[in-house]
Amino acid sequence: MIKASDKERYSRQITLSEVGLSGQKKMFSTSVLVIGAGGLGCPTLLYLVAAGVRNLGIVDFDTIERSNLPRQVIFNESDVGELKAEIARKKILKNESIAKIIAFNVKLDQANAAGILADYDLVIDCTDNFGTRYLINDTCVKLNKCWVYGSVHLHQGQVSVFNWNGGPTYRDLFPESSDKETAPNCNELGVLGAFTGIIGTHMAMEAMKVILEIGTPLSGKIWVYNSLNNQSNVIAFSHGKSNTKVKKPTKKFNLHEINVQEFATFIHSNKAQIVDIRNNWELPQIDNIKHLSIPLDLLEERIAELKKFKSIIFICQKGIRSKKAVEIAERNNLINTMSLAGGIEKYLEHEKEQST
Amino acid sequence: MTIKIKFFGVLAGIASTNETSFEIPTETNSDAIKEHFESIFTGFKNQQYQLALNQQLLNANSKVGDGDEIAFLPPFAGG
Repeated sequence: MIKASDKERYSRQITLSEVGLSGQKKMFSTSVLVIGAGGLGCPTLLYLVAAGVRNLGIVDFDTIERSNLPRQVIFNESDVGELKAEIARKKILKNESIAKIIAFNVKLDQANAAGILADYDLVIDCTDNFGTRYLINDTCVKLNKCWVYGSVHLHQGQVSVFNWNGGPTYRDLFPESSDKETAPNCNELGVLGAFTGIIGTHMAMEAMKVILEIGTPLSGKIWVYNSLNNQSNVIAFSHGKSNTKVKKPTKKFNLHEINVQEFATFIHSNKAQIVDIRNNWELPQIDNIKHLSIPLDLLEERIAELKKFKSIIFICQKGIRSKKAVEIAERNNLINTMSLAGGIEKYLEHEKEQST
Repeated sequence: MTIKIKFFGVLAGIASTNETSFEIPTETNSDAIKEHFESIFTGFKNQQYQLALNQQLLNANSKVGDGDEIAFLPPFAGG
């Protein structure tokens, strides 16, 4: 039975055909653990409790710092120095006084993870480090629980749902690799609070889809959003290697050198800037091919002139100096430069053969 | 043949761009593309990332040709 006052309170979401009274009951009865009460955890918690999630756990060992206030919007000036999980619990109880909320003022670790996660139906990872993330993943897999993931890097964010109805896990997306640098977090890089708000709210939305069993949660998919250019990408992934369909690779190819036939195609398509790196007295001239002339000796100092071209083909007499030109260009971060194998001599031979 | 390249997260910072197009003379493969960019942006080698071909994560070397899109996707850490 849903009380009349609750019917009124949650009427706007109950009205939705995907929610209804049965969906609202699922919100009331599903228990959710939010790990991390920071930039992502605050919006996630606020929207879940507001929607009627009444059984919540909050894990955070940290205390509130003044620099948290612009993005950790549950907290106020007077909370600085207090425990995040405890203050978050008190604040969201003001929204829903009958909610059962437990504050775990601890750091999630190997020893306590299974015990804390065991009592919750759904886990939400709002942490800021890989160690805890892999621990959450492995514990959820062991306990057969679904978890919602979100993370940010400057103005870009990622959201996904792991281990949902047997779906792929975080390790299927990013296998652990200890030899690599660890990605920097918000404290080191900086972040705009509204942006963690977007990503945290998106996580709350994915959590509600899982709770309500509606729509298509981001299982086997990762949403990557860039707030500066508003671009969204959804990249699909599956369990490990066995299930991935791969187009059979061709033999390894040298991306730096092209043959005369390929060069002819490029001249025709106009998709690459041709740069003659011979000295200006060298013959034959190639006036019939649109090109720039920059002698190899001057290439490094004139490299800025080439930055506007996405793709460049260097040509010389025999294709030896043009390979050096590719090296120089790549050293200067030009990403798409090629050398004509055999040079102009070989190309002119090819042209002659074609015309006879 | 034109392929589209997308860089995300820390890799976009290293490459100083979110996306670019790339001309290849003939069909190639994802390992060659990865090797190519790691040789230009040497910082890539220290980062954990995955490649996606046409929005599908790759777990093995795969053929890449005209019109394909390769994304360089690292995990993010901030929260």
